[in-house]
Amino acid sequence: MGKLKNTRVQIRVSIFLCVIALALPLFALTLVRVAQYSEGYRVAQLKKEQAELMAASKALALEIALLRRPERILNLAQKKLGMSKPRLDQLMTTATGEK
Amino acid sequence: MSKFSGNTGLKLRFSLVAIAVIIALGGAWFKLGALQLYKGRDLSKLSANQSLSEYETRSARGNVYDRNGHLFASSVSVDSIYAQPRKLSNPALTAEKLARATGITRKELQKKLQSDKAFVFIKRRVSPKMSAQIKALKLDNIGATPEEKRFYPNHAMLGQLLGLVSVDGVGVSSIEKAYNHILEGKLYKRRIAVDARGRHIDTADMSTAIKGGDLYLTIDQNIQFIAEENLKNAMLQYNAKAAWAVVMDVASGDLLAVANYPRLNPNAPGLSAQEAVRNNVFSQSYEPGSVFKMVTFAASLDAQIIKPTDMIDCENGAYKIGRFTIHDVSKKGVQTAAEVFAHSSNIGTMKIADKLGATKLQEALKRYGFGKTTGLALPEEAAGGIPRLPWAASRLANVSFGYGLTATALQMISFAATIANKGQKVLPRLVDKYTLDGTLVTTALTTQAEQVMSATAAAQLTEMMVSTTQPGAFAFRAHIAGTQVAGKSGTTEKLNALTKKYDKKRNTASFIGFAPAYNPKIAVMVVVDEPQGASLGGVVSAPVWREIVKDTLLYQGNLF
Repeated sequence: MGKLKNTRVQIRVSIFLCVIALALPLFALTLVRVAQYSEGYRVAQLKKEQAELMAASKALALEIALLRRPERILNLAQKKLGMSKPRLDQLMTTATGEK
Repeated sequence: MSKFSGNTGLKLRFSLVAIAVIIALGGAWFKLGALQLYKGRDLSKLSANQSLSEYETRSARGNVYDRNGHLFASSVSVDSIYAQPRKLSNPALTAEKLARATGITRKELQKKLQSDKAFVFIKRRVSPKMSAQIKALKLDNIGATPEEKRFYPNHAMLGQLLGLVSVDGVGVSSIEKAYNHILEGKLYKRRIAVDARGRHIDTADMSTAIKGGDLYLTIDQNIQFIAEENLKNAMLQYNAKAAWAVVMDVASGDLLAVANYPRLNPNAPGLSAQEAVRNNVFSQSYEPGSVFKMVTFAASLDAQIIKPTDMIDCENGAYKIGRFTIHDVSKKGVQTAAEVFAHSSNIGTMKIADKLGATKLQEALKRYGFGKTTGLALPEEAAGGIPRLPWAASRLANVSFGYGLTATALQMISFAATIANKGQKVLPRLVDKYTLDGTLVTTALTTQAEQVMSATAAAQLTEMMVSTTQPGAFAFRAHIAGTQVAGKSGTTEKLNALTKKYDKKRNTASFIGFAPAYNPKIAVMVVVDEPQGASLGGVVSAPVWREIVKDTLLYQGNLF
């Protein structure tokens, strides 16, 4: 009677372990896929941020170019600072020789 | 007693439930596995078709810089508005709301939104203001994706030479076209995904979107500004139809400025004047008039058929050849060849050319580069034209003082630089370097070692050109105190296409030369088309030339 009881327990444990052995990999695969998609969202978000930063950097370079326009500089020099083009007699050579 | 009662019954009931649970779970797991492992790919594809849209676009176009790294052209990221027609629940209502914001007719929008496509562009590369207005509408399945748009931070400066780019990011004129293979961004696929909550995710991989190469021109932004400002002043003073100027470094052939007025703003080409479209420096081939006497004298001095001190009878300003009478502005009798040049005598020049002969003069013109393009590879460059031999006496006379043939300012400036370079041919250079696939490539210098005229002839001609600009001489308005300059003025009557006669009221006034005369750094040419109130090159163009030369040499530190 005792032997029969042990055999039954062993069978039940074996079945239980088989089920676990079958379910665990599938469960793990599902977890991996979920993680993959959530990381994918993160990567997409980072790429978006990268693109935004690149665009911002470019926009700043353009702004510098706009600020450095000779027309703008001349306008500021003449109208805000009251400057004018020097006459030839106002120019002096301070050094000679090769540059 | 039932087999389901008591301890045995409990165990039996438990076993039955366990088996049922195992079967149910097992079935679920089996289905899960089957979906993941066997049907996963097909289901992903189905999901993609429903939630992913793909379209082809170009990565950022390369930048154009001046020789010192100042930005001339770049690309900015702007929004392009798209729709997903298959998912729209009410295309008509969406079209009505979008029509107000985009300015596109409702009918046109409805046609797009009712199509069977997964993805359509509504409007590409819109202004930030329009994009914000559309986003504020918060319409389902209407979104914005970034695309590149060409922008020129200096607005109209160098507009004609830079050229234009099409909506699709392809160069269509001038530098943008000629160097499109370097500048253009690479085609790549951009994906827009929509998740289960309807959020749009732009999944383009920026690292694979390779930007176009950058171009570094020989143009100097500051010298370009100097040239354009002075042309603007001349345009205003003389109410001219157009004006153009070119500045060249005589040693290297580098084009430091290529200026045209009226200007073209590539940011808004439709708003520019019709006359602004053309790059006259490169493409306007015209009868150069008296500035061309440099060429006749160069050929004659080089062939040693004249010396500067030879005496020539200028017939007191009127001379008949066949049925034509040639006139001089300055009526002189016998004078030296150098004086013939200084007084710009047509008669004296014609007699010198007659001594040289048509064949030798034509050979010289070809040797100096006239009648063909300079090799800059710009689509709009004109070759000009030299008449074919044989030439009648009247044709030879005309050609000698710059009529009966055509040339561009670019060809003329290259010739002036050749004189300044002691007779060694100078060809223009426009691109200094460029990047290609991340590598910086410096373009070769185009100055040829070919000696197209003797150094002696170049020196003699230089002396003559210096004399022309002295106080009291014909082109004294080009003189710069403290610096010797070499130059020649020219005034051309334009041919009336209808009457086939030259129109005294429509002139082209030019001045060309180099400075400092005995240690030349730059060659400059200025052309003013149809000035009003004055017409002579020495009066209209010489002062403009002087200011450009003075300011450029000052900027370079070469004035004194």
